[in-house]
Amino acid sequence: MLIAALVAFSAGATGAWVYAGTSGRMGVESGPGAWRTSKGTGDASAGLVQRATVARQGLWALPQSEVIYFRAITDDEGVALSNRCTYEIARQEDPPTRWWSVTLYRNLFWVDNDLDRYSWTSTNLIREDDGGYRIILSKDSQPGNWLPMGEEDGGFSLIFRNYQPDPSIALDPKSAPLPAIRRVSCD
Amino acid sequence: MRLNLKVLVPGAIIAGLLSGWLVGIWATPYLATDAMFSRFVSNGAKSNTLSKAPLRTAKTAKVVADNADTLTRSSMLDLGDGPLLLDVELPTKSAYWSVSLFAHNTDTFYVGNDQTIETAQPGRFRLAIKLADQNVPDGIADAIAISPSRTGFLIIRATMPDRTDPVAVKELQDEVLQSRLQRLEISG
Repeated sequence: MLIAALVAFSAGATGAWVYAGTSGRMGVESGPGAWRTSKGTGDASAGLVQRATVARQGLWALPQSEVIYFRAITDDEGVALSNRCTYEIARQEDPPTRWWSVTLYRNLFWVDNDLDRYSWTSTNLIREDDGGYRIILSKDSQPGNWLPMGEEDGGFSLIFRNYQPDPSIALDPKSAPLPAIRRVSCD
Repeated sequence: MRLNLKVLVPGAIIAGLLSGWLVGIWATPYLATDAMFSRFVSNGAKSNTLSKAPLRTAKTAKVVADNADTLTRSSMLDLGDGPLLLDVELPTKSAYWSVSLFAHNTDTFYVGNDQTIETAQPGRFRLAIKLADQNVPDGIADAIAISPSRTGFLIIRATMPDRTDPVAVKELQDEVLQSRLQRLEISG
């Protein structure tokens, strides 16, 4: 009986580690469109499961007073991001934050490409005439703000970082002016 | 008294699974930190020593969900031999700069950026890092961070104007590399 309990304990602990590394519980709060955020990221007040999940999937993330992270794993229609498709990320206005970036990940790591281009930021984007921005995600080269998706399939995600954000974003993340993620075409 | 194994064994399994799950979830932040420290040590990193500020790429990045647009310097912290002093010359070529400190269990116990910190000397920031029962001399630092654990992690982040612009990256690297982390020698 003791052996059974020890084996079960070990299985439970291992299951917790695996769950924390794969769970989608990081995004527990809705943002606009496909974006999700989490109030307790990087915060000692977060619950045990969330702290474990952040440790596995966003180790040493900063608290919301400093950075608000939004994560998307689908387009605005709820379909999982895939490198078989081309997407447009666009918005006319910037979020009320000191500095922001949008970064593409495959299995939470950057997608290798010849340009070493993994992201675009508020300081290096090529702007539209109206001051807005438009980023194209695809595996094939695109003019302008191209974010390469690479040739390898896998779980893709986007993280939109708001550094030193206006408190209004944390108070009402669903109203944050984040870009739409529109699927343009698929192979 | 005869033990009813048909009841006790499933009960022990369920109790084992649940307790294992709870302990595992509780321990995950500690284990995630230790796992990352092991990787750093195997790559030659030492405690209380700031890393250089290399431009990370998909081939070299080690941290999950890393920020692609910051030059970072980091250090594993060990306060067992006394408090530390981080001495920073604030970069001028970055849209955002911050220093953050994380406890062994990943809790953030200090974060300050170039707009929120207060400095006695313009452009220079000195941060003392100590355990609650350690002392630091008056006036030696602009701020004091008290760590809840003996070990922890320090990250300096400076956003790059554009990671694909080698001149801009080099200029910012030169600035960021001015930071120093040293053990505070306490006399008496």
